[in-house]
Amino acid sequence: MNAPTETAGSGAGTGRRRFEMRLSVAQRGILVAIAIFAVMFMAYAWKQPGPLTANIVNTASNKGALLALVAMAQTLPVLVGGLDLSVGAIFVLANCLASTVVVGNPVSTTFGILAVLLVGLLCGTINGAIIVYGRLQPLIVTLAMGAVYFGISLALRPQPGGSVNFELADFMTNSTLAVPHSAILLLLVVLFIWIPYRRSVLGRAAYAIGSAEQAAYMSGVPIERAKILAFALSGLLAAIGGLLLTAITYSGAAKLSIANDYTLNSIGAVVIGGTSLFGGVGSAIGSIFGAFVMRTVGDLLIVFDINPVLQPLFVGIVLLVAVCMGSLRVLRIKNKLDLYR
Amino acid sequence: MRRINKTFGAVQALIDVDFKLQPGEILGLVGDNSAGKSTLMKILTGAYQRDSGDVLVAGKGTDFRSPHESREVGIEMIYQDFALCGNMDVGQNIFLGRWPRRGLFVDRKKMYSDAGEVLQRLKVDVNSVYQKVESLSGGRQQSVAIARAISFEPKVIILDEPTANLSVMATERLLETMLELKKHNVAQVIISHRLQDIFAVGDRVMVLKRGRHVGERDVSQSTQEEVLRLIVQGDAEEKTQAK
Repeated sequence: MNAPTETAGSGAGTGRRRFEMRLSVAQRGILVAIAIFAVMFMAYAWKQPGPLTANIVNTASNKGALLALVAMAQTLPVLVGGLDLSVGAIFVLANCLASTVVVGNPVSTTFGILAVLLVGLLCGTINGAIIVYGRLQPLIVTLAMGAVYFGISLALRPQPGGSVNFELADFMTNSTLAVPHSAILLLLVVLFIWIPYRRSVLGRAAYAIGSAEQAAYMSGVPIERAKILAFALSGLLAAIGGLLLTAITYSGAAKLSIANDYTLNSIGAVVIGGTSLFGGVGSAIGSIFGAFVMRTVGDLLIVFDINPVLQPLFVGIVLLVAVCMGSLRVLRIKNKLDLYR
Repeated sequence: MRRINKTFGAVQALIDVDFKLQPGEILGLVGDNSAGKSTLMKILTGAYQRDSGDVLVAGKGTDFRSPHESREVGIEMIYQDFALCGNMDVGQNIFLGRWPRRGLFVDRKKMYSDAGEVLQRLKVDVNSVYQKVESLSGGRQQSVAIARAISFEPKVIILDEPTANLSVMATERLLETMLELKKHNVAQVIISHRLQDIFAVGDRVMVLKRGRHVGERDVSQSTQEEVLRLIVQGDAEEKTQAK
């Protein structure tokens, strides 16, 4: 402890080392997810018949963006060390609500959008409040609340149907100069929700909670507020996903299979994106690419002429491979005891 | 702290314990395992809530609901298990729970440069403020925990078993740091089983046994043997004698 050789990254020549240090586990996770996605998408572009038109890219983006939004919604609870089984239900609830209220002239459409986003935020806040003040496990709370939200969706829309402001819907799902608007939506969400959140005190607190909740508490980190905010924002993101779904389908449907499918796939996307299910490590940006990886699997099967029935099988394999890549770090751990931490 | 009581279920962890600390004083808090030393200090910081009794800081009654509140009046505690977030880096850990802000956001540049300064001031041998805490050895993690506690000019520092994981050199450095802090009129409580450390820097020793305050000695007028006898044999009579 005496005779410090080099202190606190302030000396010269620490630049490179600092870069390496800063390329954290989460950032490596993002890079892996981007790499997998790039390879898969290139394979897709190469194999599919005809040139890669803006239309094809746009369709892929729309499909991917839906799961990407739900996966981002899943990321926040996972970062604080929980799983949210209600993101799919909030996504469906937002879809059903949007197919009812996001209609009519621009003014009523705007209020409709705000209402949908607020409901998403509210659902998430309720989840968070029950978890924090009830001192309950996120898994079981969101399982129950997910059923509640799905029940409300069914009550709102017993039969598939409804409508949406078509101009808005078309605008959300089209592309400009080959740039899909859904991709721009993702970018905006990252810029205006994720990055500010990550840099905020409560966002940082979320990482601290996921890392060591007790230590965070002892150090005066505002645990309760941070957890509630994480779940609240999760609800908001899922609701944005629901809005996009409404724009793509022009209608609302309360289908349990959609809710469950998106919830489970969101967990897969989060993991592929390099977020640790133990909490404290990860990024919503990784989850976006994780989502695109999972969606591209389906497209690949089509262009490679594989029976689409086998899609779940291949998605499962991709998920396993991605998780295994994540655990490759185990090989580099020098202290074997660290494995059991 | 006056007549503090605390029970955990059927276990009476603290029974009518009185505790006093003067500015600039170093108090050694000793006792056998499960004597209630850590519990008493956690009640002071608000990590635990007392069942009865009063906590006064500078003569004013307080009621800390969490460590966050006690920290605001200048009471810092270094926990036995350090209470660091392993997969966050050194800089973030030093500012854990009070990251410098710019508006709503955490000011990362300031955080890392300030953390660097703090570590340099304390001569903590850590390669980089970007290093993950879990990759440090136990002793260095401890240094980070200590750096965190003393970097914000607290009035009271509580050190729970600070020397248990430290090498001889590191222990000496820590004791030097404690004396340095004493010059700045910081009151310190050191919980330790190593009486020689307490006798090296302490002013006063307080002995707890099975949740009771069984004795108190001035370091200058006592010996390690005497304190040891208190720890082992101390009973309620001893307390009245000590007063």
